[in-house]
Amino acid sequence: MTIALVGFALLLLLAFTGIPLGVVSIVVGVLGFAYYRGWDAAMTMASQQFLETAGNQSLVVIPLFILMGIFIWRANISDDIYAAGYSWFGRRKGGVAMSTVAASGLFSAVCGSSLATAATMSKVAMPALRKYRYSDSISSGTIAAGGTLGIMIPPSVPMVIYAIVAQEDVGLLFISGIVPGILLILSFILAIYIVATVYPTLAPRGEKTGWVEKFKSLNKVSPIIGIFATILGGIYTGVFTPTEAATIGVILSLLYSVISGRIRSKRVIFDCLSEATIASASIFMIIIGSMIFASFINMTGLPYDILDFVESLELGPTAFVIAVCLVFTVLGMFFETIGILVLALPVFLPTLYAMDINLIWFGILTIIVIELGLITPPIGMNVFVVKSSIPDININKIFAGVIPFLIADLMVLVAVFYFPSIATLFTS
Amino acid sequence: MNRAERAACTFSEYSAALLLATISIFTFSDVLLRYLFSSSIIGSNEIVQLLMTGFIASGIVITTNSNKHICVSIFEDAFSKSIKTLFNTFSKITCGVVFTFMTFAVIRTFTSEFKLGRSSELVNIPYWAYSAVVAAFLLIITLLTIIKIVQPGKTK
Amino acid sequence: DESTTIIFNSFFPPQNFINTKVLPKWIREIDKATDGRVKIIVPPKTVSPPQQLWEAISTGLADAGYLYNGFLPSNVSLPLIAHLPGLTSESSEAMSVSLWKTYQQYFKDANEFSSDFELLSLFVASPAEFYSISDTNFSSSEQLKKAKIWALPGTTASIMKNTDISVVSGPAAQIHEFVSHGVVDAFVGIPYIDAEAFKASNYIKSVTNFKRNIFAPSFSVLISNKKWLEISETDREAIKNISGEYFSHLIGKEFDKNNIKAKKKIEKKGISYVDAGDDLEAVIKAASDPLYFQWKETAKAKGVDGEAAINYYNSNFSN
Ligand code: NA
Ligand code: NA
Repeated sequence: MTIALVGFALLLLLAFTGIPLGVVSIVVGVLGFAYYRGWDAAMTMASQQFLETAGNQSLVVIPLFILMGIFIWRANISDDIYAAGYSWFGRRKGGVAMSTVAASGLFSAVCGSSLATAATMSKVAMPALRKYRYSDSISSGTIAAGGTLGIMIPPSVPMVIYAIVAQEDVGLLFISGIVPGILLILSFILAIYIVATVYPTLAPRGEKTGWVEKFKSLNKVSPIIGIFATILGGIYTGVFTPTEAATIGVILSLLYSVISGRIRSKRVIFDCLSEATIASASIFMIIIGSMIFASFINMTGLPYDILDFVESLELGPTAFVIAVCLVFTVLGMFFETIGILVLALPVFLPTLYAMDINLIWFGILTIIVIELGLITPPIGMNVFVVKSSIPDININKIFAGVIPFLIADLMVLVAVFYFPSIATLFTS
Repeated sequence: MNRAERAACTFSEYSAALLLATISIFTFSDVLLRYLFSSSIIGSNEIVQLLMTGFIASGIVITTNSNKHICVSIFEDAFSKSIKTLFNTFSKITCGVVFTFMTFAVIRTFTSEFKLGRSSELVNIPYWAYSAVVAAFLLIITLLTIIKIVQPGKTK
Repeated sequence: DESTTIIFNSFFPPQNFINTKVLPKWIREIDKATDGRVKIIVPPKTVSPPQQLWEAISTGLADAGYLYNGFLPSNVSLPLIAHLPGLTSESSEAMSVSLWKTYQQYFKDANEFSSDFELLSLFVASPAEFYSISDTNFSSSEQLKKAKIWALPGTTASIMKNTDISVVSGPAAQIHEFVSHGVVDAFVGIPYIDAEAFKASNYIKSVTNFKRNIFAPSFSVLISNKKWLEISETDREAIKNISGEYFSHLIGKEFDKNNIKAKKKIEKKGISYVDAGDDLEAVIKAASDPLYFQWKETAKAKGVDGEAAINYYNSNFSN
């Protein structure tokens, strides 16, 4: 147990010097594994994990969904998405922020990453939020929190990874994310409403939009809704596997962008492919590193120690799930999403299995907890993304602006915890 | 960047784009074949696996070369300039060591798979092909990283 | 005396009876037989992908483990007798014991595991079934030819490919993707236990009974020679006594018990059985012949009388 903890500490320490996370995980994983099994074994292990991860069938959906998102993004549809959100919510109290949340939710339907969602919304929503004199804190907090929807509403990269680690069906997990995702959107909107009621000057009303305009704006985003419905409907009714759905998503979004005249040259398509390559490879580098690090943790026997520990405490399933959520929350403060799933989840799996806990439900809880981590200090990846898109905002202001959404997140977490059917309604 | 470096990067970039396009088209054709004509590409999963392996390996070349790896950079502002330079150099050297190590490791797997002589079940892709592809791109990454350490001034 | 710790790899999921029943029992017995001098540890999850375990054990990621015989190097081919189509029994225990005996009698001298490994035991899992998830009850070759079928890579996929039908294949762990999404009409190549474990059982509508099951997967229990020789000779003898045929019985019995349990569970969901017609049996038989020929040729090259070995392997469980 001590060696495992030393490993985690070393990982964190080295990460802070700015070495890429994937590389750091390889370093500590290989050193740790060699400590137990020698260099020869460590070398074979590293190579096998690299090859296995890079060629993993179940991970093919990740580059495909990323490519789909990039085609859509290139088609400049994010402005339309924002306009649609605005035309429906803009006039309300805090309406411009509400529009941002609605737009983030809509964008999440075609984007599997919370960072990409936050980055896109920073560019699209921030000008409008500033125009209506929203406080920087509320604006940036909304965008950072809205970004977290990207991983709850399918498609979702973390869900793909959770499904692989926990050996669950990724399609089921996607479907299970829809209702909690909608619940999150509603709770974020409620949070804005409350803030706007208490501090009306910080979050004023936007302009009035007519019904014609409202439906026109919806019409503009209908391709996105169409693609989302095709993919999820296909997965839900069993017509496509998730990989097939992702491929169809790629083709549909490319067709849409070309037909609408927004992608006009092979060069642009090539750029989209390159962009998807970098986004995918940087995620895979983390997965590979985490797999190597996890091989080391596997050798330390930590998962068994935890099982024994939990058994000795005589924790029931409820208490255990709460405990794991707490651990994930703390880890989420420091680690990034994929690392937590690949490194920390396997440590608890033997106990989760032993207690016969529904792993789809637990997966949704995990995703919500990870979302918390994305917007909490000291390391809140989404907050950093917003900060880097809008450099003139103080980072503490963003963290302050996120607080109402943290509370909303926690409410949804508690709701899913007490009413598991929110997550499992369509899949059991 | 000298010509050899640029050639290696361009090669990787085009490989990755081509591979990703192929993966998309290939899986899509497989779906079409299955639904429209009730047939499918035999061993498609083995082929996709090889394409994916090449795609990720070439992708890591581009990602490394354009410094797009995911890092924790929050404390950067808190460090003084000299510490920043120190960490930066440390980071580059660590990357160099890790990629060299990985290259050797994968080449070793390649050698042993070559000797074992196994191949995939359906379309008989030799197992060494997977490690050969990865080893080739890892070698490119290693060389590019080492060049960057030796000639720190010359970035694109 | 110093004690030796053996890292024994297991790639079946943690809830599998191999991990919860068979290995713990065997480990306790070894601990007792060696007076605690040999300790076996099973890591929480597999140290390597199942396909790469041969290399993993020879380079020391783990010291020992069971390996799927379909993933052995191409020069280790004799244990694959167990994978020959139709050379199966309903009882995993009977096949496992027979495979061990056949190995001792016919294959041992070929020394296929060379000096790198010591073979501790052999076992054959429960035999694979042919499951229809469509409304068709497959009993004729005509029906088969019209269908889309998922087949386990290896023997089963080869046979299906030889029959010229539309086959999809892939790792058994991904079968749920194909079955749940109605991508295929039938799937073949995995036993009831795995149909249950990989969550494919809910979709089964009928099972086709062949005179003998098409296929049964087999495994070798190996330890690296390096580790093996670290153990004293007395302890090695003690371990051998509770490995080999003893282990084949031990694990085979559990397979049989669990396969019946899984079968009953699936039956409760309401499935029907249909017998394969003569023409269907004949088509499968014709597709199987090349595999027999090939294996016998390989055996011949290693100085083994393949025909005799097949007859012997078969005689131990057929009646
Ligand atoms: Na999403
Ligand atoms: Na955090």
